[in-house]
Amino acid sequence: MRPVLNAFKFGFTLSAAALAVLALSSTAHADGPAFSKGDQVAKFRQLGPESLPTPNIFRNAAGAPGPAYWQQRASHKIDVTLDEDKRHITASMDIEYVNDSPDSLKYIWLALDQNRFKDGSLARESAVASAAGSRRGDGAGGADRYSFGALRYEQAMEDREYGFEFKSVTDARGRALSYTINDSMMRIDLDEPLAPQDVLNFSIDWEHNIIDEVAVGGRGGYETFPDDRDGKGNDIFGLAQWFPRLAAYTDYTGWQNKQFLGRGEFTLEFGDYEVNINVPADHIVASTGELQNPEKVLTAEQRERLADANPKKPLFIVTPEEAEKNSETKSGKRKTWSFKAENVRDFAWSSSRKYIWDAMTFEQDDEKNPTVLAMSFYPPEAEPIWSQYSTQAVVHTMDVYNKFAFNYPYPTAQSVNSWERGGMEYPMITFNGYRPSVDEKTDEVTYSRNIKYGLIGVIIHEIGHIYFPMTVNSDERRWTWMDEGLNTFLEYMAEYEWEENFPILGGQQNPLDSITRYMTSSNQVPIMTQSDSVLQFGPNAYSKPASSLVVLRETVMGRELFDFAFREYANRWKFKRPTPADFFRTMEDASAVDLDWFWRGWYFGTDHVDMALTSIREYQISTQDPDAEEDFKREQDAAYKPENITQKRNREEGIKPRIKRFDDLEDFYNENDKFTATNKDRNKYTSLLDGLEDWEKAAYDRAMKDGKFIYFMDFENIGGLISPLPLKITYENGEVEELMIPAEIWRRNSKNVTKLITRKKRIQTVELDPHHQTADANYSNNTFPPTLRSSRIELYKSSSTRGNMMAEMLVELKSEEKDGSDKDEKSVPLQGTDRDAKNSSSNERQSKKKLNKKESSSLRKTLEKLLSRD
Amino acid sequence: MYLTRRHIGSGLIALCAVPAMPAYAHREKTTVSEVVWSQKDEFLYASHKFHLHQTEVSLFEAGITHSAKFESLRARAELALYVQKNFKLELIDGTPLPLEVLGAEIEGRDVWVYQQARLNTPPQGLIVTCDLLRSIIPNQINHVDVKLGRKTHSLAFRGNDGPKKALA
Repeated sequence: MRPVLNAFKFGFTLSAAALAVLALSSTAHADGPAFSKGDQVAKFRQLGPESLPTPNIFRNAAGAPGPAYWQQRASHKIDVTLDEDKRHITASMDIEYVNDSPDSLKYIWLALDQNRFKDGSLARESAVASAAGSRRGDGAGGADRYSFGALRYEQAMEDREYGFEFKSVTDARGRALSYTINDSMMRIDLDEPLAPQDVLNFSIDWEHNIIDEVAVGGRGGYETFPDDRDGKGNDIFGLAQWFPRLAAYTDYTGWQNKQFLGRGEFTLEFGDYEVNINVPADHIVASTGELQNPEKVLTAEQRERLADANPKKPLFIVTPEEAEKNSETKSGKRKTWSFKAENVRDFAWSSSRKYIWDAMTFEQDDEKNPTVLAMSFYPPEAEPIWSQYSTQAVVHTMDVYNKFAFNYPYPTAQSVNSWERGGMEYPMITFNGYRPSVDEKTDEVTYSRNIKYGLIGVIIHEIGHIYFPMTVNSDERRWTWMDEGLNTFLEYMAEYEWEENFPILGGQQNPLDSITRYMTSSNQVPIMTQSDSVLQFGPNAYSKPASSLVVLRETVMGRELFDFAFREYANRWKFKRPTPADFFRTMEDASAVDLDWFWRGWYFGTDHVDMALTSIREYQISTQDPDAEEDFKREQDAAYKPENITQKRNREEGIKPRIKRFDDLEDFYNENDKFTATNKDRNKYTSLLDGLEDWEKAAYDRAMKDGKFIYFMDFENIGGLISPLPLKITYENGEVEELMIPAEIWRRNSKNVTKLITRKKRIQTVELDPHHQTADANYSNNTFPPTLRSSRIELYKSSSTRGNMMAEMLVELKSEEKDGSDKDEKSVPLQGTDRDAKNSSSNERQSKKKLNKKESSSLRKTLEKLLSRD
Repeated sequence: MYLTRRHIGSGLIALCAVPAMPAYAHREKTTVSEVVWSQKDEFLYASHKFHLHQTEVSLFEAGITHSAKFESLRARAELALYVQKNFKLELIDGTPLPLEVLGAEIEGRDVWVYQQARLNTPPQGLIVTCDLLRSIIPNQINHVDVKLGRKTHSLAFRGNDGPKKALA
């Protein structure tokens, strides 16, 4: 059969390359062998065993728990006493460990996270010099630099012993159990292997000093407010990762007993907790779980206020005035707060006499937890923003996350200001930073826009973690992105619903505009990298996966399919342990969208999105009638080949061509140009019509009637990462159309594609990704005709007012520097000993780092200033 | 083991002011810089992005800025001068590129500092020296993306890292 297009010739309007392009577009799917360099379809190849584990009876091919899925269970009863003066806890714990695995266990492992701070710990011994004084011990390289922070850290470590001190480890009958401690892990050897379905009961008594959170860092500890009580001071205590915790035993990795080095968080077993916390009688305790004995620890007034908590707005249980007053005295009495928590994977608490306490209820359509008590605990120093925003942010988080995942699974949700900045999550309780500051001029308490949105953002994020991973129990030490990435995505969703233009990432309301910096960098690793080996941890584990899910929801799958599948994943793995394959498979299984290309590009690769709209060619189907086409061809020729300048100027100067001066020189060719229809042309046209089949003739007649415009749009994939192509088309008449070309357009050629579209109206401009919904790294190649785009720095330059003001200020500052008031701070060289002097290569290195006298002098000034401050 | 003895004292060892830095469970301490040559106006541009709050507090406590609020023009100018002293570029043959401060501005949770240097031709490579906040904040990392043509060369400066090269 003859292709219908052969019946026509295209009258071109914008490009002369029509037929050539047609030929190219029909042959541009050349393929190399699989996995070779020329393998054009590799980006669409299905994920195989090289990327995903084979489904099995524990985890099926649909991404759901399999018929033999199992997980362990560990329940705890703990009595703990806080010694406020010594900043020390003493505790005893009974554990019930249920072996639901199909394996007999000769030993069990417990995680001793406090041992990270012990003298000689792996974390401390393996810290590199630049990491001294750091919080996560993950610095790299460098030495010969000694900061005040490092000095304070070393002093804190010298002053007190940290880490677990065990008093006894016994079985249910009180017999000592043999155990071995390997740094931050403890192995308890069992007399008899623990058979499948058997239960092990044992007890541990221990104590440990509480770390100075400000000096040492970590995810808990104490913070001192030295000015309280006329200089005697008060503390806030945050007890996190504070007890020996059962390590996870899983079907995918056995014991998760990787040592705790500071960065990798954790995964644990679910279980029930009963915890009695003995503290000074004037302390307020916030804790995982529900308070069991309010009548013993709260005043009647506090209990009444708590009973009045409602979903309209937060009410104070302890008012700011009461907290101020509490902070002025110190009780010599003690109280024991009792808490119970069901089906949680960890337990944390906080205690202080400084706490203001407010509460609000959150109602949900849930059989088990129809009313959730949302609460916040914070010192007066956190006011006024905490009473205004904290509990509201807690409730808002549940409101939004419930839509995307499942009903909030616990009876309480708490936000505690136990440190100045940052955040950390535990079941039902989160520790969050951000406080206002005191203006140095007016002495008034103020907070910036950054503090406000930082606070709201961190609370949403940390409360969100109660869903992921505190309930959907992914393995943080192995795949950080599974909780941080998914939770950051939902954090964005909650922030969008908090207020419009919320500064979601790096001050931008669109995280997809921010992530491109990371995605175009060359020192990145795929998201699917084991947590300890991740480079650029923040964007890798948080914002890139979160951005990918925004793209998946808004651009690839659409909201309806995405939301259903995501919710399916959350519910399948609620209170269970998913792995990445379970997430990938569920999202496909529940949506009928082939996403292997998406996971391959975003999660297993490091390409970025940079799609370019490189060319558009416009056509109309020609009538082929030489008489009808004559004028059109003439116009087109004139449009693309303007009259030459010499001929034009000759005419303007009045130069008469020779043929106009001598009549005899004109003939047929002067009267008819090259576009004039000839009989030969007419015969050819008649013969063309006669040769058409009936159906071809009908198609031809309809095309002539429609008069449509045909566009060939060329796209280039510069960044390598596959993406759908959202287009905004503006027509000559001003109308606008938006359409989405699916990512599958790249399935045979992942570098260059040409899209054919036909429209009745003539197109004026086309814009690729007008709403910035693909994470495109370069928008300067996304419009046709091309438009100029200014970079951030060019926009800044174009503002002369700002530039002038800054220039004047710089001149002023430089002038001050010349006068000797340079305040710049810099490291000065360390002075070595005689022994060092013999090491010439070391000296050589040092000499390169030496600063000039001026810098050295300025550092001394800085140093003196700092030393005199305290 | 060969141990080196050091004297700890203000005259002999550098103590850099470190602000109270509580645990950041979810924030990596990084600055992000981008160096790009613009064909349009034949300038080499450097832009530097800092976490606003972290930078405000740490530079103020280190005595580098007079205020912990970068809403102050003077504080932003002090930041810009700090960047000028601690971020340097050389052509691959070692010729220094005199970067001029354009300014600094706040956007959301970040503060940006801009620099430029006249350069008529795209560089074949650059030598980058970058020490932004590293001597002040433990574990601070400086990411520098040098964009040469279609390629991005990402350099990470940690600890006491000296100059690094990015070749076209």
